Amino acid sequence: MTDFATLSPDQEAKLRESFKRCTPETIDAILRFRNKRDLSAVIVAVNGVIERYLKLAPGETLAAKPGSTRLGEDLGIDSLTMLEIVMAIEEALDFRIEDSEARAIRTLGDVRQYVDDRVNNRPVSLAAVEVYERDRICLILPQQPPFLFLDKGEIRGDTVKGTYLFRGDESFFAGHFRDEPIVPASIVYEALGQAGCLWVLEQVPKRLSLVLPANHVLFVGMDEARFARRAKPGDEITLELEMSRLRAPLVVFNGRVTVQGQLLARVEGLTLAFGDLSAHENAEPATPHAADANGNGATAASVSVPAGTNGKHASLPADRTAPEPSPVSSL
Amino acid sequence: MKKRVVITGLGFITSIGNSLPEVLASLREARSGIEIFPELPQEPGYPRVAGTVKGFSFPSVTFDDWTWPPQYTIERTQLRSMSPHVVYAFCAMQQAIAQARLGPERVSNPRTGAMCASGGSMWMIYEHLHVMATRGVHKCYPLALPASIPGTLNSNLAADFKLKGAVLGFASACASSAHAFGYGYDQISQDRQDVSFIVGAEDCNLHSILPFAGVRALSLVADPEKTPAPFDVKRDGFVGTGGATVVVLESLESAQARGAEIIAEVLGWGEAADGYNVMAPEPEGEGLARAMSLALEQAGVARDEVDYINAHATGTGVGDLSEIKAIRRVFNGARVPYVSSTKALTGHGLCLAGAMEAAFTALALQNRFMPISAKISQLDPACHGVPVLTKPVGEEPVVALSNSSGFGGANVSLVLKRWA
Repeated sequence: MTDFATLSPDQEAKLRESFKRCTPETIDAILRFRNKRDLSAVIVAVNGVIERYLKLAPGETLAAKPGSTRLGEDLGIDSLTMLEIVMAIEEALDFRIEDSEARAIRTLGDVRQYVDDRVNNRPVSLAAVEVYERDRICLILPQQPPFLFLDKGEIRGDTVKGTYLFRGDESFFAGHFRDEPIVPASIVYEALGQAGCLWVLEQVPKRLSLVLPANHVLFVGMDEARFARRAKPGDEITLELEMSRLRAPLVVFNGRVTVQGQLLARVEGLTLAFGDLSAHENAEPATPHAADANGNGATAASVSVPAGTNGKHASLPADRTAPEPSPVSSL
Repeated sequence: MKKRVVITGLGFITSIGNSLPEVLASLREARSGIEIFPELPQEPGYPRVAGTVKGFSFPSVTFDDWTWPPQYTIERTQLRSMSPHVVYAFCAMQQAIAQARLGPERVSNPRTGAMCASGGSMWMIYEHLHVMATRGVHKCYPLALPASIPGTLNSNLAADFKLKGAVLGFASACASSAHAFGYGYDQISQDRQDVSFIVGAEDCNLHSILPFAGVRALSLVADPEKTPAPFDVKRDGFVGTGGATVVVLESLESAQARGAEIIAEVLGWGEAADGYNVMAPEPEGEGLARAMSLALEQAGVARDEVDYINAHATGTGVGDLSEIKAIRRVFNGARVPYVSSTKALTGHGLCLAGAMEAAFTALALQNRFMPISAKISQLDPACHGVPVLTKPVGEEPVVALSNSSGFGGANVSLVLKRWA
C-alpha cells in the first residue's frame, strides 16, 4: 500500500474489463482509489464488488446493512464465493488478502474494519481465531488456580469465548450450599471477567500499541446482570463476551454464559479498566482493593440479581482464596 | 436373474439439433451440422470446418461472458465450476429428465447414477495453467480445477442434480461414452441401480479440435457440404464436433411401474481391445469384430437378426476400412446388415460419440428408419460386400448395433432393439 502509482491506460482498461459486471459507480470508485488514493471510495468499491455476487432485492444495498450482518448465514456467501470475492477485492484494491485473514472475515463489520485497516496501513485488527489452552492462560492471566475459571479461551476479533468445567472439588461447593452444591453466581461472573481480562491482555496492547502488565487490568462494574438458571458440579459453562467499546482506559463488553446451549446468565456493560490506574483508584468509589478486601461485597451492589435467585447466589464462601498479589478484577 | 434394460429419455445438444425433434428431423433428412468454424485458422493446410453447436457462446473462460439458450436456468453457483461441455450436458440432462418424466425424488436417489464421459476441457486447462505459470497460483481462479479437469462432467452433474447412486467417469478416448453406456447397462441389468444417466459431452473449440490436426487425423476439405465423408473413396479425415447427449437407461421393471414411455430396449453389449497400437486401429478389424460378436452373444441375438449398424466410421482412411473388415468378419455367411455413419452429419464427437450415436440408433429404431451415410459421392470399392446406406431404404429396423472405437484400440458394440 505504501508504493502507489497511478494506473497506466492498459491497467485501467484491464480493471474496467475485470469489473464490467459491476455498477459504473463501483468501477468509478475502484479507479478513484487506485488513481487518486481517495480513501472514501474504498468502501463503495468493496460493497459494489461484493454486491455483484449477491442476489439483492431492488433498492437493497450492502451499505445500508448493519455491521453485524453475517456473510454466510445472512447473505448466503459460501466459501467458494468468498474466495471469488477475495480475489476480486485483491484485484480491485491491489493488495493481497491472506487466507487466515479471509477466514476471519465473517460479518460486514469485519469487511469494513479489515479494508479500513489495510488502506490506512494499520495492522489488521481482525485476527484469525486464536485458541488458548489452560496452560497458556495461566501464563497470561494474573488469576491462577484455584481461582482460575477458564479451561480454554478463544479470541476472534472483538469476541472472546471460554469454557470452564466445574469439577466439583472447588472449595466453595462445600459451603454453597450445605448438602446442595450450586455454582455461586459471583463465580460465574468472575469467570466472565477473566475471559474479558484475557481479551484485554491479548488485544489491547496490539490495538493501542501499549505495554500492559498482567496486573494492570481492573474490574470496574456491570450495568446489568441476569441469571436464568443454576449450574451444578459437572456442568461445563461456555462464556462469551463481545467488546462493544474500547477507549483507554476502559473497555466495555456484553456477554452471556451458557451450559450445553442453554442460557445461564447474561451481562451488559461489563467494564474493565486497564493501564496504571493508581491515580484513578483513589477517586473511584469501588476500588479493586476494596473488592478484594470485602470479598464479593463491593461488586454485589453493582450486580442486579433477579428476585428469586438473589438469596442463593449473592454470597461467596468465606474461605475464597484471592489471587495474591493480584489487584485484578475479582468480582 | 438379469434385469431387462430400456431407454426412457434422451437429451441432445448436438451439431444437428438441440432437441429431440430437431435431431430426429436432421437424421431423417440427412441434414448436416457442419459449418465453417472461424476459431480454426482459415488457411490452406488447416482444417476449416466443425460440427458447430448452435445457440451457445463461450467467448472467454470467464463464465459471466457465456450465453446459452434462454429456456435453461443455470445458477451462477452452478455455472462457476462448469466448462462448456458441462453446460451442454446440463441442458441435455434437463431434456432427458423431462422426457423420461423423472421426478426429483427419482433423480436424486441412491438407485440412480450417472456414467459420464468427456475429455475434460483442454481450453480451460490451458487458460488456467497459463495464469498459474505467468501470474502465480494465487491469481488462479479458485474453481479452475473442478471446472476443467477430466471428471468435471461427473463432478458437476452429481452436485447439480444431487445424484446419489453410482456416478463416475470413463476415459477410453473415442469409445468413452460407449463404455459408459455399457457399464450403465450392467449397473441396471445386475440390479445395482434402477436408473443410470449415460452422459457423453465434449467442448467444441480450437483446443478440443485442432490438436487432432497434429496427428493428421482431420479433414482439410473446406466445403462443409462435402466433409466428412465416411466410406467415400476420397475421405480425408474426420471433422471435430462437441455438444452433449444424455440417455436415460432404466430397468424395465422401474419404467413400467412408472408408466414411462419406452424408446428402445438395450439387449446387451460387448467390448474388446485390439492389443495393437496406441492410435491406429488394427487394420483387419479383429478387435472390433470380437466386440460385436461378444455383444451379440450377450444379447442372445443371432447374426441374421441384425438389421442396421451405426458405424464408428469417422472418415479416416484406415479406420473406416478396418470397421468394414470387422463387419465382414462377423457377418461372414450371414445376412450383412445395413451400415451408415451419422458422423457425416455431426462430425466426430470424441468422448461424446458413443452416447450420441446410441441415442441416434434408439431414435431410428423407434421411428422405423435407418439414417443414411451422407456425403458419399463415390463409395470406396473396398466396402464391397457391406451395404452402406448411401440413400434411404424403406426397411424398418428391429435390431441394431452401435459401434465405437478409441485410441489404444478400445472397441465397444451396443445392441439395441425396437420396443413394440
